[in-house]
Amino acid sequence: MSARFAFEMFAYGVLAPALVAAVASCLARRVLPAATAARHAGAFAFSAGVCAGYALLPEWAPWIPERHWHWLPYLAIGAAVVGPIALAEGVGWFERWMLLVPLAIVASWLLVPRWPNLDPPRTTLVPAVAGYFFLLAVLLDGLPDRVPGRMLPGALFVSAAVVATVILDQASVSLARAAGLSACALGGIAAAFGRRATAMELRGLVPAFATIVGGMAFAGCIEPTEPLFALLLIPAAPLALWFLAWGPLRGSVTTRATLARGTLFVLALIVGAAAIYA
Amino acid sequence: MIPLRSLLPVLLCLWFAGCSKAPGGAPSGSGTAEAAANENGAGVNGAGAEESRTILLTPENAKIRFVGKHMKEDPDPNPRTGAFRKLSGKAEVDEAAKSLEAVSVEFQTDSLSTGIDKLDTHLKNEDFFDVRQYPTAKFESTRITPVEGKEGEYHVVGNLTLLKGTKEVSFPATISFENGFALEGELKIDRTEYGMDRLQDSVRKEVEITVEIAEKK
Repeated sequence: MSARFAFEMFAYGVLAPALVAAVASCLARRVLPAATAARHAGAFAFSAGVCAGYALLPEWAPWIPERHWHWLPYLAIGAAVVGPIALAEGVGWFERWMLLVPLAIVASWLLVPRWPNLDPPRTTLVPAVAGYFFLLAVLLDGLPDRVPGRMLPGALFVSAAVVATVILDQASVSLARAAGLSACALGGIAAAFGRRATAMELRGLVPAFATIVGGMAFAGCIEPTEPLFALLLIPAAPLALWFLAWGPLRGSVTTRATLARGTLFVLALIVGAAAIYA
Repeated sequence: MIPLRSLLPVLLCLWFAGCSKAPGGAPSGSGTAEAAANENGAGVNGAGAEESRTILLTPENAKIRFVGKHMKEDPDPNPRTGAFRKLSGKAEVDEAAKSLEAVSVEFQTDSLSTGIDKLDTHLKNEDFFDVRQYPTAKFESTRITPVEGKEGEYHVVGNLTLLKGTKEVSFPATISFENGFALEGELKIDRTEYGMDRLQDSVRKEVEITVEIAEKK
């Protein structure tokens, strides 16, 4: 790897999306009214970080999409709009879910490639991938109220980072660079939010995470001629935190509770990685 | 009455016209050196249709290999060599004239193999051969000319379609008919001309391609 390439990777692929996301989340918190900021800050910051990083990618990542995954920045913007709207006051859980359905379908429609040798075929993959995005968003949506502190933003960041790493190892350098943007944006948000991340901020972020990190995982898994569907388990690893969402550890911020959550999450990642590399 | 003398030029014209074209449109040229060569099936590339033979190209009798090199060191101490395991095509040869008339080959890019699984995966992805989007590549000759004074050596010109680009390429080829038809050729392409433009900092844009055909009789 040349020094120029390494610099590009670090400055444009890591620093830029992380910084932009961190600054955007701080700005949103400072500028917007508290209730609006709570819904929009996370999603807006994530979308800003991903789009800024995408803009800095070389010419193989154009704004006029030529490949399926080139839709990701647009989907990030779409998810950043839909996610907070779904959390607006007066919107019940059913309406919220109904707002996530079209997002999942559109994302799936755009992200499932139209390759001649796609197997399973597009007619199977579009509904399956839409279902994956929807389920991921819905299941993650309940976690912020039950998992306090930095654990959830940290878990989202680590999951995205593992997705990018596996794509680098198993699929494509270019795709990994694109996937790395979402990880770095989430890292920036996690750093900026610190311990003060509210459940509402994280819930606003969840649809964007499900669409973009889930979408990158899908793009990465479908790239090899023998698809690596197990990669789809990695963005779902934070769901392991549901096991401690009830009982005495619910909402607990003790070291013991944090360690237990961390261990569960890491175990889920290990299971996902084992499924990929088995 | 028209004098016979005045009809003579007309008759001569008719006679020449009748001789210049055979019924099938092929030059007849009887009584010329060219015709003699054609009838013997020697000397003229593409002559003597009855002597032409089509050889079907398969992975058993044809090999397409490529060599990619890293940027780090020059010369690269560890160049990567790969081959395509699935291909089909045909070579049209004139046995009598011992000449190659045309060659075309289509290969499945997802059949590439370097012997290193991980490298195969990376070469198949969108950074390089992008086999999902472009599962086939092909070469079709457009012009094949013998090199003057060098028996068995030809200059092959044709169109190479790889990824989203089709470019005219030319390369020297050596052919022989000793134990069946055999061809060896080598060409260099600039991968970026075909849209394979990623990772130029680490992998050189020049790619060497060798073509070998060895018909077993």
